[in-house]
Parts: sequence; C-alpha cells; structure tokens
Amino acid sequence: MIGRRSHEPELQAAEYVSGEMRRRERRRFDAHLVGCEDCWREVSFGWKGRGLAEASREVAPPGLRDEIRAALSIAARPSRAPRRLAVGAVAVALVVLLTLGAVAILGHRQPGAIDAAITAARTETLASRGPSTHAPPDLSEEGLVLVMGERVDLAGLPSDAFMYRDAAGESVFLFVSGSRFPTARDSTARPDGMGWQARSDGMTLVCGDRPVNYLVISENPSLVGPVEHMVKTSGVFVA
Amino acid sequence: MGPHEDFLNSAMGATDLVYNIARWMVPGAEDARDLVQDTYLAAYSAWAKGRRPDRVEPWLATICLNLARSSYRRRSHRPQEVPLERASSTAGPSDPERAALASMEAAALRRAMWSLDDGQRVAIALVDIAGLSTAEAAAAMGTPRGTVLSRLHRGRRPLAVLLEDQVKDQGP
Ligand SMILES: [Zn+2]
Repeated sequence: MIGRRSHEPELQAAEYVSGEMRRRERRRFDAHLVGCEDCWREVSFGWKGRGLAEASREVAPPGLRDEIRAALSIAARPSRAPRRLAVGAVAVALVVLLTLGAVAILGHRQPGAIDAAITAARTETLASRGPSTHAPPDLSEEGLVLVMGERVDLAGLPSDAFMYRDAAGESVFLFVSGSRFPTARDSTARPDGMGWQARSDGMTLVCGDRPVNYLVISENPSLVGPVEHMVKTSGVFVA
Repeated sequence: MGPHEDFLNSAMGATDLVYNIARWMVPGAEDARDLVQDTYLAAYSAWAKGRRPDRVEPWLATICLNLARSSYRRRSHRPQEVPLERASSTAGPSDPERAALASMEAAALRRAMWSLDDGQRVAIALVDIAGLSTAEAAAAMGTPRGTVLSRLHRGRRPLAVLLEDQVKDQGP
C-alpha cells in the first residue's frame, strides 16, 4: 500500500500501533519505517500514548459487581415493574405520570394521596415537579443509598419524595409534606398515639405528623423503621 | 438456565471493561459506577427480549456510550478532584518509560485524558483501554473506521508528550 496510496503517517501509525495491519502490510510498513522519519515519529508517539492509556486501566471498584447483581435481580423479578428511577441525584429520568386512569384501576381503595404514594412505591416511578424542597436526608449509616429526591404531587397533595435503596436492591420511600396525609383505610393508630400504620397491597406504611408530616412506604417492613427513626430524631425536618 | 443466569454468565465478565469505558464517559467515580449499572440494566432488558450479540464486550460498550451521550449529556466535562493515587503499572525498573509510567500520578493522567476532545478520549477508551478493535469502536461510535484511527492517533500524541515530559523530569 505504501507508495501506491498517498502517504498517511498518522493513519498508518494508528493502524500499526493498534495491531491491526495485516501481516504483509505490516512487513512493508516495518521496512518503510526504517527510512521514513515522519512515520517513525508518529509510530513512536502512538506507542507511548497507547502505553500510557493502557496503564490507566483499573479494576472495577469493590462492590460494583454486587450492586449490578442486586439491580439485575430486581429487574428480573417478573411480578414488579422494574425501573431504576434516577442516576445519582443528577440525571433524574422521570417518568410515568400517575394518570387518572391508573388511579381508577386501583379503585380508590385508599384515599387518593395514599393510593398515589403506594403506586409510586410499587412501580418505583413518580412524576417530578422539580427538586425536593428539603435536602435529601443522609441514610448511608443505615445502609440506604439515596436514589432520588423530588417534588411530587400525590393526587393533589404536594410532597417531597425521597427514594432509597439498600444493598439488596430493595427500596423505601419517604414522603414529606406541609399538609397532613390522609389516613389509610384499615390502618391502626400508633401505640404512642402519633400517626398510624397500615399494610396495603403488600406494602408497609407508617405515617406521622411530628416533627413534620411524613409517610414511609416499603415492601420490606424492616426498611420502614430506620427511615421513620431518622425523620423523628435527625433534626433535618425541624421547622 | 433462565435468561437472568444466562445473562450474568455472559456479561458479568465484562464489568472491568465497562467500568474502564464509563470512567472516561463521565468525570466522577460515582457517576461512572451508576453508568455501569445502567448499562447492565439496559443490556439485560434487551437480553430478556431475546437480543444475543455476537460479542458481549462491544455490545456493552455501545450501550454504555449511548447512555452516556443521552442521560449524562447535561453533565459538566470538567475533571473532578481526584486523590493522588498512583497509576497501576507492570513496570520493569530498567526501562525509563515504564518507570515514568509507574510513578506518574493518576491525577496527571486523568487530566491529560480529560483534556482530549471527547471523540479522541472515547476512541482511546474503547480501543487502547477496553481493547476493542477499531472496527468495533467505529460501530459503537457511529463513525467511519478512518475517523476512529485518526482520533486515536491524535489522542495518543498528547499522552505521549505527557509521558516524555515525565521521563525528562525523572532525569537519567
Ligand atoms: Zn512514511
């Protein structure tokens, strides 16, 4: 090719250094390199640059494979609509509106805001109205990673929505509102007389009004307690 | 074997590769982790619908690239502060370039990579770091192979200069 095609030191060096020249072509280029300073210089740059790039290879951080497996096991669960809501706190990919139709299908077994919150927690989808008014509370000490913090509308009840995930990939939702949440049907009053708790659609719900109106929902009851405890004790929501 | 196990067996071996691509698509370490996870979720979703690529590595690389271009587009491409850990290397001490590689600050290398054009950095990530062929990289990037070769070479050159400076700094 050399001599027949126009002389292209950059492209030929790139091909040569990438190990993609065919054997005959490579032999010719080897011979050409001996006498061509331009090509020799480009090849030399190429080797060094490639060597440096190769040296920057890293192994994936510890835990990443487990995170992937956990996320995939949720995605593979056939009974639930899999959806990873947001990427960190930045690329918030939102998502499916809770339409009147969807609420109608559920048949209003619960008050609208409770229904909307349960549906959001089940499907892990919410329509964002913007960023949350409160800064997302840090629950990393409880092993819960923040997935998103958004301003949402729960069937007419404006609320902050925070979603967290544990290492096993299970999610828990915290809703915080300036208005009281309606009481869920078939709920029981809390022993301390503050708020209520309920089971509905396989989800565990707890609700209270101090220091702020809050509603915590998860399919896994053991994730609800730590979130409620944080709301009550951390001081994040003190007015 | 169900599609889930099947996918894990086929794709989990490429985690390092996808991570090494993701690191050069988004600047933050946490963002890179998220991008890897999103890549696997998107790949699994296609897999569950019956998609079976010839080779998993370029397929995952393409998904990673597309995700980075769409949902991460708004992010700044400024490099973040990174700890001054040392770049890993298989250096033999007799070779001055190898020695320079070994002692080069990972941060200097990161700065050099992030100072490249996006296209150059992506080409280098796919070919030199992830080990794809230039034809596979061209398919992933949606550009002719000649463009990949040219971006590769133009990206390698400033990295080579960085390495040469490092060799000089170390002296004989
Ligand atoms: Zn030449």
